[in-house]
Amino acid sequence: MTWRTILAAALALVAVGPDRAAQTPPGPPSGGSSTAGTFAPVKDARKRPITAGGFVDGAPIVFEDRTAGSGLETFRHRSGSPEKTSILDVPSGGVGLIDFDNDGWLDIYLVNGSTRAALQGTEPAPRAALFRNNHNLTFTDVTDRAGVANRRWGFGVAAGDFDNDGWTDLYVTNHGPNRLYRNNHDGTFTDVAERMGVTAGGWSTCASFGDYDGDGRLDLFVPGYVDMDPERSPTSATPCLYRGEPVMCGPRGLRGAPDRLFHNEGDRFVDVTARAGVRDSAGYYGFATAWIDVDDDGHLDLLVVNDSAPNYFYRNTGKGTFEEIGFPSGFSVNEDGREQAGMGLALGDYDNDGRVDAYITNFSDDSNTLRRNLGGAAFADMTGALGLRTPTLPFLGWGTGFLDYDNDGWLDLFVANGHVYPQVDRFDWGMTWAQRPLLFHNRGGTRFDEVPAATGSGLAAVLPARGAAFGDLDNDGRIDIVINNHDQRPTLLRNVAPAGHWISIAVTQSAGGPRDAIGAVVTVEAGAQRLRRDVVSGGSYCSQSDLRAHFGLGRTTTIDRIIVRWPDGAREAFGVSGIDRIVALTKGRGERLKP
Amino acid sequence: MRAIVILLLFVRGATALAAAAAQDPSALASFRAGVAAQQRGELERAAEAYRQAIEAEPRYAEAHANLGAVLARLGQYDQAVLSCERALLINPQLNAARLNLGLAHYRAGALAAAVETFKAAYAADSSLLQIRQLLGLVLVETGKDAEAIPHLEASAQADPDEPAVLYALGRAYARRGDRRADAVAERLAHTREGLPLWHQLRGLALQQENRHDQALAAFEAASALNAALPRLFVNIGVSRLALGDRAGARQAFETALARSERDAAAHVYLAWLDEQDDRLTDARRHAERAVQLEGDVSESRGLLGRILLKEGSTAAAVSHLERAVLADTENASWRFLLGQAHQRLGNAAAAAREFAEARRLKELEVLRERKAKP
Repeated sequence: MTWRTILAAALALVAVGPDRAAQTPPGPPSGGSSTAGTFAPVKDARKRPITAGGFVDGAPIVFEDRTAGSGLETFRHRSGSPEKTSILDVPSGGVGLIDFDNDGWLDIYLVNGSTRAALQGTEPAPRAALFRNNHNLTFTDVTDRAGVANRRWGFGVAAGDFDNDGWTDLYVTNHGPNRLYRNNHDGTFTDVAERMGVTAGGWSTCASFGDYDGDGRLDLFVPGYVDMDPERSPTSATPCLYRGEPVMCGPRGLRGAPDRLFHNEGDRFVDVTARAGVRDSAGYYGFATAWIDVDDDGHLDLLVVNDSAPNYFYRNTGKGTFEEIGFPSGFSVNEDGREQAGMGLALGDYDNDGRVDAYITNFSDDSNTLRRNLGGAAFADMTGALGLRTPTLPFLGWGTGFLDYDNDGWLDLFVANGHVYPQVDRFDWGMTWAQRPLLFHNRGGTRFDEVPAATGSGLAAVLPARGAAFGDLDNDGRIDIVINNHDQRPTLLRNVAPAGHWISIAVTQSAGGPRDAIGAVVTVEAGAQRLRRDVVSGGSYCSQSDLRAHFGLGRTTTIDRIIVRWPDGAREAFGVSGIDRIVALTKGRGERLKP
Repeated sequence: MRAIVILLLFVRGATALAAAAAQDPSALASFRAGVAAQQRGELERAAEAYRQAIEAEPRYAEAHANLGAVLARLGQYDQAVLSCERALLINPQLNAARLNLGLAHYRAGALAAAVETFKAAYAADSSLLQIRQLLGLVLVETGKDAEAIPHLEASAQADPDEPAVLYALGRAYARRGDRRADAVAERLAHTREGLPLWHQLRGLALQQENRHDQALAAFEAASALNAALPRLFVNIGVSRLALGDRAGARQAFETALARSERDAAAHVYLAWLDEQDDRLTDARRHAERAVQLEGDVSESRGLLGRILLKEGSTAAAVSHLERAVLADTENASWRFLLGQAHQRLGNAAAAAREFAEARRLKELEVLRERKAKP
């Protein structure tokens, strides 16, 4: 053996430690978003990318696309350039299902983006739209009369009765000053953001209301995304690449915009971000947020989903402050210890164990993540165990919700999808700009199976989706969905699935807490079944879903009792005389239970 | 006074003659028989002869050193290390035994120990070219490119046609973004047997630029000239992985293992792929082998710890994650997983410490990326 061959062999004897260190998957964030690496294209039998294919002829139709003729087709979302040269162009916008006129029927608010030409005044600014429900699955555009057109670069909407007058108000987030539309009780709104001190400024995304200190008034959390000038596209010292192709930069590498917590003091809101301990010191890129009592201690905690950075879990200390426990709780990163490009957030008790679980949508080349609530403010990443890892890998998820679409008593999962890079359509990467939604059927809390996208059905609609909101638009006891599509018309998905029995519960309180009872926990007891639903502002992606608590009951025809834990911690039991109906429960009219 | 000539593992193989004086004539005879057997390539017989020499004269340092060299070639690295260490205990001046020890460490995958041993050998005798060559190579292996470059440059000057040295030098320059990498690559292309390494070097540079299609083509060109090139299939696997071809990547890593079961990188990648596919038992097997081969490399330790954590073997996970963190104190993910392991074991204070550190390190990552902006 010569010295030369020994030297050459020496190179082969051991691993290439440092080389491998740089290459061990997953690599660094690509294009500014955190992913799990690169995956081979998944295609259907007709060689279509699975994100825009995989349709199943003859499969049962679960959702029908009922946009055409609904009135919603008159709305068109617009945001930036078609080429999406800046990160500002891509994340708009949300959708809200709210009953603004208190007629018992959900109305629809669609957020719009804007364009640079509109900012410069050379073209009319796109407007948001409010559609009143005509009670027959058609809607009338009442935006102008209502005065909620926004005409700023909008991103999200949250609903809450911040002034406790019994009428739903709207908070609309923008790049630039946000709007707080106070409901005037006559079909009109007045923007009181400036007067109330909640314009925030900068780039706000997915806000949410919640009474964190139990003073009976809804407070407001407003996450910030990126700190940038809308007139200038952020650039990088090195090209921003996705799979080797140049794409718009961010959010990684860009400066984050601050998050804000506003305390409602009745006549105004006061910024208590630092005092309360929810200052986004790292300047992460905030998207979906929600107030929810994760540890069931009677105080609303705050979840913040960050894009390509660790998520925040602010545990409410009960003393007006919060402790950030994202890492100890397992909420910040996935089970591999990796931060993901979080977009949307679904909350619900998928396994009916009485605790609220969390599902977060992420970037393509990564799976969405389902975290099971273990109690004690701890989560376990159950994505793989529940069969949810592989199916979502090619998709880029946004709006999401737990919904019991077939009313079998188990919360299913819906995800609205769409890419941020138009370039993906030019390459054989198995992903597309417009993508079909995903629906997963919950098999008794132990597994989720994808519901086939029946050809021609709403699940086969290929959409550049962003926000999605969930609610019973036609009051037929089945949850419908509205999706706000980027640079397109929205989509109305009517639930036509064969479904079990149901009950929908609207909770309100007349005094001692937020009128709309945001933060309440409603539990239905029927035989051995105990089903929990939370009344939540925000969630999904920059969207507001029906505040009524909807329960699928399957074959159950009798409810033993309904227990409401009100936002102040008081518990009451209610009896109900029937099912398959919407019932209203008011605080103080039930049987008081020990806390 | 003994006449000391050590049969080094690395000195022109079996051609170097050894003759070492011994107090006991039978020891000397056995030693000579061992050398003769080693020169004929009869390694087992040589080992036996050296053992007889040692039995006759237990403090026969040269016999210990040569036994170490033979055992290393037989793949018995732990025993080889022990033999070389005994030789040095008996005679600390025996620098050739130190080199054998370094090479045994190197082959055993104990890179840190190899570096220290070669450094000690270099300190004892800075004139021997082979020491600088090996020290340069192993420094590149451990990512200490800046430290490696002077040794490799000196080696390349002394022996301009040595492809292994040029390859390592080109790699070190390329990783540092130093344009001298191109000139070194040119020299490599013109050496005898250097062309396949040049293709591989080019492939690695393309890989670094995320041009994986072109990198694969370069690796294929290398393979056409010399399919036995070290690490070729791991590199092919890495590019296939980056292109999303997980099946192809798996095949490449398995080929790498078929060629050398001791390829820790291939084991790590296969462990990762198996883990992603929820095949935790297979994943653990590969990760354990990687750890066995390369010791305290952060990735293999961390990966094994993570797999054990997923399997519910929390106590076992802790020790690996702790060593992963020791090897790479800046890795937020290992810190988080170590925190989780401590948490599950009820070690609240340790868990809190690791979670806080994970959080701090993740923040730093984001801030660093921002600072890199123009």
